[in-house]
Amino acid sequence: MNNIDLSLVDWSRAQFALTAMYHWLFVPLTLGLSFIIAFMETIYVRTGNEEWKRITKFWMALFGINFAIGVATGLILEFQFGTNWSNYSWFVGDIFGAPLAIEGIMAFFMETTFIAIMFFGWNKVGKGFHLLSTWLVAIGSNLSALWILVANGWMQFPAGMKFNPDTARNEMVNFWEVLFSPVAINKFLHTISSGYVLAAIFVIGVSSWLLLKKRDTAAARKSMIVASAFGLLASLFILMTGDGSARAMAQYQPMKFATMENLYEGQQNAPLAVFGLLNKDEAEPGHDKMNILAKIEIPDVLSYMAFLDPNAYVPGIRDLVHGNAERGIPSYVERSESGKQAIMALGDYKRARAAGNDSLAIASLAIFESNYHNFGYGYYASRDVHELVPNIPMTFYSFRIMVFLGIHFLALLLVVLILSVKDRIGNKKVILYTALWTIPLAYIATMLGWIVAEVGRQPWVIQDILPTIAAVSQLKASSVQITFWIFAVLFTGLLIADIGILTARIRKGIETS
Amino acid sequence: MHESIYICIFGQKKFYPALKIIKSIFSFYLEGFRNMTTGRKLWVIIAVKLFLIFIVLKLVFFPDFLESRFNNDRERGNWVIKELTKTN
Repeated sequence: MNNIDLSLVDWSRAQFALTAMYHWLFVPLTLGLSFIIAFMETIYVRTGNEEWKRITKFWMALFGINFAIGVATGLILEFQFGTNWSNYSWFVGDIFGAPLAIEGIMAFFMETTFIAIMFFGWNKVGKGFHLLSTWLVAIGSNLSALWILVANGWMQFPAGMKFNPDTARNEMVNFWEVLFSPVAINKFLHTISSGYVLAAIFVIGVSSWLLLKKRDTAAARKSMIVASAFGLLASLFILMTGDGSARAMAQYQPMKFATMENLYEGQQNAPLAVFGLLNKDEAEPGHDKMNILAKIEIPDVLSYMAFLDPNAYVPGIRDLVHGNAERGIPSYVERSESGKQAIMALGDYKRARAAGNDSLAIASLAIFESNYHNFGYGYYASRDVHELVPNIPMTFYSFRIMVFLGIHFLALLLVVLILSVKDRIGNKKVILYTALWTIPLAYIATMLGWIVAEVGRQPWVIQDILPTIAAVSQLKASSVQITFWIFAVLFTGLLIADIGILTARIRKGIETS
Repeated sequence: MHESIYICIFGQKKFYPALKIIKSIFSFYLEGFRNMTTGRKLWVIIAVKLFLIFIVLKLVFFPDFLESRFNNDRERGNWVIKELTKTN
């Protein structure tokens, strides 16, 4: 793997990141707004108040625009698996196949039936059945997200599978271990609840605009009450799921955790750096050490966050790269040697099988299986092991900005809820403008969350098993560049259309719904 | 024959012959599409987008690397193992 074209890997990664980020611009609003609409329609059905019907239809129209423009943008990711990441695609085929197939079937049934009833069924089906359809759209779209996130969770913590050396594919041996892996569950709950908060911020932001324009004021205030209550509960839930995610990360992806916290030297009673400025320490090999200037720390919190014990030892980047015998942590050089043995044993096994040498095949398979957990490290046996350290500043800053924005959202949702319930929100211009300008911040926060999750686990496509350099297809980097720019143009066009149609519909207001 | 197939739909207590159900589902969609305002623009965007994704991108730029180069799964598996076990 020394002769791998790194520009091919970088362009393939950039293309996937671009597509995933554009796709993610549409998804969280769908996830959250579907539930907010369902709550609004429930109020309409229970009270019979026609204003709630207009409110529901207004937000449903915005949901529909976002859904229509965003639908199928995720399919491009699957094309990229087959073209740009063929080794990976083959390697994980059976594990990814099941969740993605379930997702496809669920999305198909949901999109063709219940969304049609939700939009076309007003006054054609009973109120109760229409409401049921709206709830099923919300539940269905969130369950659809479950399967994608389970697949992603498996990449972060591969469980419930066994590698078949004859077919070169991982095969699922325990579906429940894949579905209920601690990483997958935390990822699903944390991701969907971030979508709920984003949707709540969207609703209160758009409602704020209506209030600032003195339009549909009663309906805008009612929308704010539902959205802020929903968003507030989701924000509190995010704190819990974020805590769970951090603990799962410390256990299963310690390098990501150390990088996110810029913890170079492992320590007991590790403090949490609330904020600080990173400064590269040029003296350290690999430049993995970054000093934190002007930092604010809370003692013991990092140890507690990672292992629910303020005295717990949290391994640092240095421990993981260079090893720590006292703590039983092998170095990356040792893991690379073990991985190299696994790679060579796999080749020996295949050759022995082809030659009909069963005893050599059995012996090679035994070596392979005992070293498989380090398989991916083998690609770094003749490379610089510091390549196994993710981008520290990007992960460190992304995490902190995301958390600060999360606190801002929580406070804003609380203030908006109180003022809306008391009917005093209409004349609070600072709050209304803040809510309006928080809409883009909500999108930024959710993107930063993905940056922490995905940049923080580099270079792994599958944690410890398959790095990007081994997963990529042997294409020309120039062809990946061309499609990168095609996507950039296509998605930017879709985004402009989305924003244009959304704002045109918002300008019409709620009463026209 | 279809007259003998009866289905209860949408929780209503009436039973409909199967053909009538198909007709009513068709007219449900047709009427829904006809009454669209913003939706029409969206359908144009969806149609153009799906054309670009499935016809232009998939067929021209995104052939499946392994599908297009090998005839069967055995060959594909052997290729991937060869790729994964490269020593340099």
